[in-house]
Amino acid sequence: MRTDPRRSDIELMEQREAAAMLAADITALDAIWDDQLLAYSTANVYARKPILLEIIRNGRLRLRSHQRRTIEVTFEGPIAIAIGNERSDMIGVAERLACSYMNVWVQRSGEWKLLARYVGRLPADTIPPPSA
Amino acid sequence: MRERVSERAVVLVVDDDPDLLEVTEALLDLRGFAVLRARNGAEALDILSSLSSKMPCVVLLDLMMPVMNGWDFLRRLRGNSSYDQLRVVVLSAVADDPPEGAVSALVKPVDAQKLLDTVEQYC
Repeated sequence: MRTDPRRSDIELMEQREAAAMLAADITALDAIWDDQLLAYSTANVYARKPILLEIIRNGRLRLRSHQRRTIEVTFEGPIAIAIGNERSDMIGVAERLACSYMNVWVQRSGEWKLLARYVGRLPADTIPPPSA
Repeated sequence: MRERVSERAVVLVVDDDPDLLEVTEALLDLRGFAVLRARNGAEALDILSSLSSKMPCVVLLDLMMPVMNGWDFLRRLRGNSSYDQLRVVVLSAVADDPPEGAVSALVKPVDAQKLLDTVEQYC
């Protein structure tokens, strides 16, 4: 089966978004995130774009390291669904964070925007580093 | 935004999920609230009894918890007249309506904005 040629676009956006998170780059995140972005986690709380930007702007979520590995991407029309895993170190938090995630991307006027995100926390030693 | 730490309104969050406690504290901190955390109803009662002056303006209470669940916490709380003015908002997946002794209920998963709006309504 041939790989969808758009897969590399999504993988690029996934890494761009991860880099913007690491840098707490509000301008980049504002551009990458769709205005309808909905983010949900195993904490049983979901949030929309304005609050997410506010959390990062106020320094409540600052990452010292953030590695994302996209495992699979599937497409349906202008929608792309990416799943993968992440390892992060937060500033001020001793414990390393590991999670699996699902990102939903939507193509608007030729640009991919992050529309929805689900994050499931995993035991910290679950995911090996990308180089392993 | 509340500015002086000593004057920050306090919210007591009672939940056995450490992730929820962490996220909720981060959200409430955005709006200037100080947060006290308890992992069950018994811990919450201990915290309340240890407070000499400033009581929380609201308690966010899960229902399904080990040691002492939210319903038992509410019964104990409402049996003590010292806490008559203490408002409790239930935050649970099992209650669409507030149980007796609570002023409001939020259903998990909860919208972060709705959670903040609800707390600000009572604080």
